[in-house]
Amino acid sequence: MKFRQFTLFLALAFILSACAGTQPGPTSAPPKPAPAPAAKAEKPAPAKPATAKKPARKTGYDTVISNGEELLIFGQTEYITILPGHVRLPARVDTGATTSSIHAVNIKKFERDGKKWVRFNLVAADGRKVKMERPWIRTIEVKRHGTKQQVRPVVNLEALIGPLRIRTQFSLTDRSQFKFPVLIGRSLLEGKAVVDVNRKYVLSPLSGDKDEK
Amino acid sequence: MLKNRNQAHVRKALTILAALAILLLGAGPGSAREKLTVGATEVIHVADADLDFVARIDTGARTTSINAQNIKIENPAADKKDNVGKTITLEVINAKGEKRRIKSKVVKVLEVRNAQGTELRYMIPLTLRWHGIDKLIRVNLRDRSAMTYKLLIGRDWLKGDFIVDVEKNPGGRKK
Repeated sequence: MKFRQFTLFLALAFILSACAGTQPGPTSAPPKPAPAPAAKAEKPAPAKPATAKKPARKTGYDTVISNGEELLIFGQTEYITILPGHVRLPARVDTGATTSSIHAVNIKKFERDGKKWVRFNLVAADGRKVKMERPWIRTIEVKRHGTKQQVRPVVNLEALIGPLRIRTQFSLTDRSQFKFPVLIGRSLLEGKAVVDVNRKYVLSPLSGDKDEK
Repeated sequence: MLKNRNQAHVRKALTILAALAILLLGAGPGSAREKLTVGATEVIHVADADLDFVARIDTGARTTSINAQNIKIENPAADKKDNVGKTITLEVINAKGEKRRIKSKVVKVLEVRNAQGTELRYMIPLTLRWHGIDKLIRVNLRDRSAMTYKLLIGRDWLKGDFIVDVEKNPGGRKK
């Protein structure tokens, strides 16, 4: 009797561990040298799966290897903290945007040492306004259907996202009509992170929220 | 005897615990079901039209959008919203100017809010193929003739299967 139960347990454990082993996850054992998948070669298109995630050693954040580079995984939304003033804002990760953008008010051009600068306010989540002055790097002209052309200043801002501390370009614009005060564009993501739209706020799991599906 | 029974109970409980633990570890939310990586742009085959599109992969867009013109509804109602379920014909046109006429059904009328106000767009089911992988989703129809990318792939197509690495196929106009 006892023996039968024990065998059952062993069999169950074996089957379950085999099942778990087929799903590469951060918690699964290091991959054994699996037999070469011969059937794969017959597939018409070589769509390569992303290398399985593994926790980055230094940070503990999930990463993937893409093109030999270890990249962080961002969700479709992430919190970003703009450094001077520590303005923490929710951001939409938008691979459709070249440059990142941030909600700013009272945007005014001025000159300092013969150079073009811009003075503006960032608006924190609690409504607190944070004064900023930055060199005006370049101008983005936004053309949209049915609206007059908009000119937006672009400045460099220092920001924290998860384990990253970065200095990157943001265009300044009134985003008060939009749900997210920050858009994270491709120039910020390049070489740093991939995007998994199935996830949200993965870099700050304690502050996740539940918005649209 | 009693002792034996207790041991059996303990073993049973342990078995269940072990099974649960293995299941949770293997299939928990942290596990990476192997997702494929797409770039910032990809060539997508619209199966229903037998036409290739160079698409922008846009995690900022909830739904996928395709360039459509000459949209006609059979027995149209005055209110666009009342056209759900009706037969629709339209032309999809890629960046090369190749066009195909499609006959389909309106499955939804999407309300799109943007800076300019509210816009109503018809949605039809389309099968979008990438590297031999088919995904059938509802795509909204829009005149994208003035835009670089005639197909915009939104989160609905990406969900569950793909992650985006913008270093891959960055497309034109970098920075």
